[in-house]
Amino acid sequence: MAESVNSVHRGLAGLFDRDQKRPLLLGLLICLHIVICAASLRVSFPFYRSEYVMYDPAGLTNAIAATAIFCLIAPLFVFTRFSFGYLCGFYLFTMVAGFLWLNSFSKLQYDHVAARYLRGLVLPDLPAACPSHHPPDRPPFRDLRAKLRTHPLRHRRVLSRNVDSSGHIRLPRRRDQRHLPISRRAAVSDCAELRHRIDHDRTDPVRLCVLRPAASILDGSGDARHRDLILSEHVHQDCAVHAGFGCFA
Amino acid sequence: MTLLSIFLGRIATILSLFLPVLAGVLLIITIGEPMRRYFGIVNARMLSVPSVAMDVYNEYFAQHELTHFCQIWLLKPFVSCALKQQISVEMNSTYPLGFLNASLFATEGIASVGLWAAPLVTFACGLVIGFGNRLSAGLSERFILLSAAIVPQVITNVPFSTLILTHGLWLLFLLWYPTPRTLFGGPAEP
Repeated sequence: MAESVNSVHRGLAGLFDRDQKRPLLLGLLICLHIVICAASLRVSFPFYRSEYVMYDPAGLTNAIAATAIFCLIAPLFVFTRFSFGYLCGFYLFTMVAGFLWLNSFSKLQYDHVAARYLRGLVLPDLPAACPSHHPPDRPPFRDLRAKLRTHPLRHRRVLSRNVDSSGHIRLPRRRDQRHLPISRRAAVSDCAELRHRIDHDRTDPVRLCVLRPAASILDGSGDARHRDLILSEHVHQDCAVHAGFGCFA
Repeated sequence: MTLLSIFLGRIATILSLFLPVLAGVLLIITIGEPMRRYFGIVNARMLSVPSVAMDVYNEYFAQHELTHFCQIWLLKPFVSCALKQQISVEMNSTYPLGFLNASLFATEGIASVGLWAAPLVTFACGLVIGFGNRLSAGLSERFILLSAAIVPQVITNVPFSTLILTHGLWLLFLLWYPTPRTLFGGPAEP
């Protein structure tokens, strides 16, 4: 018995839990959910407050059409990732779909057509449509602040002088170092090593830039020296992007 | 064996609403009257009433003056209020549905600014939810589902301002933000 329960458990998990790769199953489940909700509202008619939860065969076509059109936004729930907004959005989506169904049968006195269109206009799952992506080991917004603080544009005037036309690093002049924040002045000395390796060992500066922080990410040892090296090493704009520049502030 | 032990995230969200409603439909069709209580609680109260509330609010505020957010106690001293009593009490005296509160679409939308401006207010509420979305980003799906499990039910049944201020959604947001992202398992799947 326990074995059969476990096999069902594994089967269900295998079927749905990899839903990232199976959007069709998720889409079918949402469609089935809408159909069941409509069936529930239909069945409610004689059972619950029949003066408010109404049903009339004459309005069935309108109800199906309005709900079906609204459900065209349902793919958002298939192709977005799970989040708090997804959780709220799905319930609100179901509620609005239910309203559009009931609206077609309602005998209350108001502008039904306007209400239907305006409800359909509102995308209750807007937050669900905004995927939230950021490194998992820190709270949100910190990355944004770090990116703003360390964005290349902020120190473009100084840093642009560090790179010559062939892409080699030049040490900033001492008076330029004054424009760098204190945390970056230490980095300037690291440039000497970098310059030596580029000029004498003929190491590709982009590779240098990418390899070092990548290693730091892997072993979690993003120490200050590596960080400063990256901050001072603006040889190539793409380098900063590839290196996960914002993650090191 | 719970839903969360088998499924995660999206599937658990959908099934949390789908399964009880499906059970209600099947029970009322097959067994009938003895299942009326279950059907009334789950299918009627949980699923139908939030939608009915929008219908009712539409009619009421098509014939009465708008509230202009005076139902929010913070704003009440600054806004002239056409309502002599709380909306739910007013609804109860007009429609025999009980003390009916309604979602952000009905209360912040239809009741406060009217049918035509309702989408704008709803959009603003969506931004607040989006803010919460951002604050919870990186937390594990299981943790988000457990800590916010009641929010979807509340958001469809009470005004959004009440949810934020009285029911403490702001506190949930505040707790989510500093929560270590690796404390309750891995983050949501990318």
